Order: sequence, then C-alpha cells, then structure tokens
Amino acid sequence: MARSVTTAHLPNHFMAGLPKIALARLKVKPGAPKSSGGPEGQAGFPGARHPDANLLAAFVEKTLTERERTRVLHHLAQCAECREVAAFALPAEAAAAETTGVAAGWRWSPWLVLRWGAMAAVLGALTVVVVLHPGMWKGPQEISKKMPPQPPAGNIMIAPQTASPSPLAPPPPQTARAKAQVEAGESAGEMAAMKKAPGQREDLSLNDHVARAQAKQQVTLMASSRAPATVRAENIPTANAEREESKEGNVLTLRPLSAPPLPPGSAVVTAAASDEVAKASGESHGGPAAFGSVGGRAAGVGSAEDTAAKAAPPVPARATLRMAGPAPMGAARAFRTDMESEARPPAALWSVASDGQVRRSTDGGKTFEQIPVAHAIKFRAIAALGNDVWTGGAGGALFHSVDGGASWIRVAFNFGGNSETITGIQLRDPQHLTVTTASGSQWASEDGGQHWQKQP
Amino acid sequence: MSGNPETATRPAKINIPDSVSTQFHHEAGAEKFGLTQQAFAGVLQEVVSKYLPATASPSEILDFLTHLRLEELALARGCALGSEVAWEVFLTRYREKLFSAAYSIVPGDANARELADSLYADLYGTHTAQGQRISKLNSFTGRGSLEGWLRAVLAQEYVNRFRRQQRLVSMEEQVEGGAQFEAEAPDPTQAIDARLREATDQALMSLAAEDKFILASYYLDGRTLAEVARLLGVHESTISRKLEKITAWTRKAILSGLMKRGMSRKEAEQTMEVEVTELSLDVRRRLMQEKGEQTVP
Repeated sequence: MARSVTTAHLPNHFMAGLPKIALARLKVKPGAPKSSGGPEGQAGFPGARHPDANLLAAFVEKTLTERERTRVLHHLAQCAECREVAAFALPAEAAAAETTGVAAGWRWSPWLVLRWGAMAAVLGALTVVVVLHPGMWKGPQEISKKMPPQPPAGNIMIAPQTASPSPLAPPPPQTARAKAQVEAGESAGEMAAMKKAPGQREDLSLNDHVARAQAKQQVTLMASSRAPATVRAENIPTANAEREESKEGNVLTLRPLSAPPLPPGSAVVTAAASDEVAKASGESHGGPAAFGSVGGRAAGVGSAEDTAAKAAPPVPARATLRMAGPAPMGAARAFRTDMESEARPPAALWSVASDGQVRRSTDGGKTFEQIPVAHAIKFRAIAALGNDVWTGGAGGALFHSVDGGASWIRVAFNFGGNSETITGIQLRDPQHLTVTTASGSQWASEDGGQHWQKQP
Repeated sequence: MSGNPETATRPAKINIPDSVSTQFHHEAGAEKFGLTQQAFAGVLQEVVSKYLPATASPSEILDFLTHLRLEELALARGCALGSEVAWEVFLTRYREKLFSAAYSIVPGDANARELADSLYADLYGTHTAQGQRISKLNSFTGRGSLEGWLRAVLAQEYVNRFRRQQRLVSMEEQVEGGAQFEAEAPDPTQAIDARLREATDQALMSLAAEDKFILASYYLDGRTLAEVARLLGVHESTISRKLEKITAWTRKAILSGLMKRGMSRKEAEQTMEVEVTELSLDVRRRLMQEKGEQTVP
C-alpha cells in the first residue's frame, strides 16, 4: 500500500472527542489467539481465521445475513489487513453505476442536469446576443417586455435551433431529437453554433432570438427529480395514468379523452383499484389474465384480460394538451411520452398472467407473447422502463433484464431470511426502485438492486 | 483446519432436493458451461454445507440458494473445469475489469498487469493435484458477485505480497543497521495506569462491531467519512453522525469506568487525556505487525 496516512483530514471535533488511549487500545487485539481454536476462532469463519474473498465481496455488496455481517464486522474491527482487502474489494464508483443495469448511452437524463444545462444555454445565447448586438439593445425595459419571464427552475427545455422559427408555432418534431441532444450534454453546441460565424448571427435579428426563446418556453415541462419515471413507462401507460389521476386529481390521462371507460372487471390494477379488482376477481374471463403491478400495493389478484392494456392505445399529443386545471407533473411527462411515441414504434407492454408467466406485447397490446424468465417461478409483479425490466414473484424471486427481456439475471434480495412473495415493484428510474412483499413490507434500492433497505 | 465450532458438528453435506437443484441448474445456465445437473448439484451442496448449519431448515436452504449468484457460480466452476465456453465468457466479461481492479490497487501499468497476470495463472490453475487442475475459481461460492470476488482475491494477493516484501526490506534494514532480530516495539499503553487501560478496554468491548469498525477505519486506517460510508453502504452524513455518537459515548464510558475504579471525576478526566507516545498511524508499519505478533497485555 503506497498510501501515507495523516490525521489532517480528521475534523477537530472528532479528534478532540476520542481519547488517545482509546485509539491506542483500538489497535490492540484483546485476546488475539495464537491458534484457530482461540476466541477469534470461535468468531471465525468456515475453515479459516479470516473471512475469505467470498465473504469480503459479499460484505461490501451487502449480501450477507445479519449474523454473518456482524461476524465479519467484528473481525474487520480488529484486522487491519482484512479492512484493506475489503476496501479494495469495493467497486470503483463509476463501475458501480454501470452494474446497476443502465444500458450504454442515454436512455434517461437527470432532470436536474437538463434543467440547469438548458438554463445555462439560454442565458449564454442571450448574453451573446447582447454583447454582439449592442445597437439593438434598447434598454432593459423593452427587452423585458419582449423576453418572456424566466420560467421557474426546471421548466426549460431547449427547442432546436432553426433558421427562422415561427414565434408561436408549436415545437417542431425536431424537439424530441434536440432534447436528446441536450440530454447528451450537447446543449453547449447551441452556444457554440451561435458563436460560430458573426455573419450568420447578424442574419438573425433580436426578434428572432427572442422568438426562439419564446418557442423554447412553449416546450415547458414540469419536471421534478422525484417524479416517478413510471409515467415514462410507455410499457404500461394506462396503469400509470390511472394512478396519476388518483394521485393528482387532475384530468390527466394517457388515453384519448374520447376513449370509452374500461369495462367492469377489466380495469387496470392500480394502487387505488387493487381492492376493487380483488372483489371483481369472480368475473374472471378465464384463461390468462393480465395483472401488472407498478404500484406499491399488492396487485396479485387480477381479473383483467390483456384487453386492459389493449384498451389504451397511445394518446395523440394534442389530446394531452387539452388538460383541465393546472398542469400536474404527470401531464408534462405524458406530453413527453407522446412526443417520443410519435417518433418511435410502440414500446413494449409488459404484464404478468394469472399463471405467473411474464408476457410482453410489442404491438401496443394487441397480442402478447410469453417471455421465459425462470423455470418454475410464478411471478406476481412487473415494472419496466424502456428495456429495463424488473419482475418478482414467489419465494422472493426477483429478476432483472436490461435488454427488454432477452436475458435475465436473478437479483439477490435479502428479506432478513424470509422468502416472501414479491407482489409489487415500483421503478422510478434504473437505479431507484421499491419492492413490496406479500406482508406489505417495502424494500427500496437506490443502486439498481445492489443494496436494499427496508422502508419504515 | 476449522476455527468454527459449528463446522465441527456439521455433516459433510446438506441434501438439496433434486427438483430444487434442477431448477437452479436451469436458471444458472450451467449446462452451457459444461456442468451437468449432478455436478452443479454437488457445487450447490458444497456451498450450502460451507455456510449453513446442519440444522438449517429447507426454507432456509432455499432462501440461501436463491440469494446466490448462480450464473456466476456456474461460470466460475465451469472455468475451473476447463470449459472453453466458460472461459470465453469469463474473459469477455472480466478481462478488462480484472485489469482495472489491479490498476486501482497498485498504480502503474506494469505492476497492475503483473498482478492481474499472476491471478490469471491461479484462476486457470497451473498446478494439478491427482490429475485435476487446481483452480482458484473452485473456491468461488457465489455469495457475492464474481467481479467483487476477483477484486477481493487481487487485494488479498497484493496485501500478501506487500507483507512479504516489507518483511524482506525490514530484515535487510535491520541487518544493515546492526540490529538483527530487533524486538517488536513494546505496547505504548503498557506504562499507562492499569485502571485507565481497563476502563478503555471495557468501553471498547461494549461497542457494537460496526461501531468499532467505524472507529478503526476512520482513526486507524485514516479513511475519509465517504470511504467508510461506501464500505458500509450508507450515506456519508450517517457515518459522521455515528462517529460523533460513538466518540461521545466512548468518552463517557471511559470516564464512568474510571470513576467506578475509585477516581474522582476531575481525576478521571485528567487521566483520560494522558498522552500516549508512539501512537502511530503508519499503515506500512501496521501492515508489518501481522496477527499474532502484536504484544497483548
């Protein structure tokens, strides 16, 4: 180890608090055994005095039982070498993000980065305009009249740069692509383009720039870093829409406003509707029924056919713009969903049949195919975000696919020794998910399933 | 050699129902790695027997098995058997990760490569016993990820090398300095009031294992709050709060212990702040003091 240790990093109040005698005695191992049969041997490990690489790796990955973890911690508290090994066994922080199942490339952008990047780009563009066109700068009052008020943080989305944008035209289809560019961190490209050729800039009047800024404002999205990404789950739009309705109380839907209500007994199972569905289970149509849980509550009983998903074709963009009331978070997400759906074929819809089989539809719910996940496991819950799919079921089985179901890996999931059935999965983004068990316990992971914490 | 009394009473194998081992054999995709159902069942039995007591119930066994990294276990054991398919998959997945891990342990391209290459030899199994290749991959049990296991094995190899190297350097230095077989430095706390030593030991023994680990990592190893937090899988602020609590509690416990041993409060506070000379946080020196060589009062 080429690391020199100093105490410079130790905050004063820590150093002042712990007596030096305690530090000195901490180094001494009381009752250190000479042989494996001593006290350490009793707290030892299978066949050795030190935890082997398996236990150390499991320790840093938090897959040990509580008893084993305590035993390893007890040893680590006394063994400097094993502490060094454990520290080296930690994955590099960048690698830890990779192992959470996030596919290469951008499928999901942090709204925080998008928000600030977009604001920086707009402000930068305006600065360039002001600097290079001083003659056109008539005064702060006039500019403020022409410039729309700065939107609240988090609501800016940059529209693509066009030659002569119509000030009040709806965002062109390029917006989705431009948004993707912003997500990829290319918002600076817009600034660079503006800085490129002075001659080109002079072709654009201040009004053009203002109009562009206004056009950008048209694509205002309410974003929240806490927004459950399930709304973006084109896979199960109806379930999320129903849930958003019950949550937000707005007339928000991902279904066409003119869509007929779902027939009784075929309602999509949601957190609110789970009780009703349970009661209506007697109306089962027989055969495979679809019930998918994307909420936190058990949705293990379902009587809906796959028609539940079929009854909700993709919503045209304009329909979602005709929302009543203040735009809730879900509305903006619905809008974005629809914009994306215009450019892409229908995303996969996922469901779990009553026989525990996982099923997927790639034609908007018209037909479903069975997707093999694991032999002899009955699944009860499923959640998906693009190609990132999680499914759980009997015996605490939890499986994860990052390629849309082509392959699956089983995720270690410690229920403290109990193999409870997983009845609900809520997937906020590839790293944040919550799993609900049959007893109602909830377990949350913030790193794509590597570690889990029981929720109060 | 077994240091665990539980293993002495544990039977050699814990029986796993065929249906269960069949299911897991399928889930793990062990067939493509050259492991028959019977062979994989044997692997599972070995792993279960290693970690579970003989009295483990079927549900405990099942729960244990479901938490294993079955696919990686099959891959590792397939590699140990010499399956080409397994090795192809292994190298595709882990070649670069192994080198990256080695590089993070020992900086320098050449040193990292050398460390990684030495592990490859152990993983492949360059030694044989009774006609069977001895591969380190046979010891992978799937409790954690294969990648994590590889990092831990690399780290263990490096620590062992470092210790061997330091012993050689230390002996050379001692011989050159004319001090052959120099005695170990005495415990700096030996000269301290026995009551203080006892009160401190009692306070430290009362700490939970995690609390002691935090203290050792932070104060003895010099790790930052963030590093300790990563090791325990919690937020940095959690470690900060815990350290404050542990520090305050330890201080209070030592004080209380001294007062129980007949000191007044003032006397106890003064005694507790005694300077311990030669308190060293030198990692290199600490690594040289291997288990069993430290002087224990």
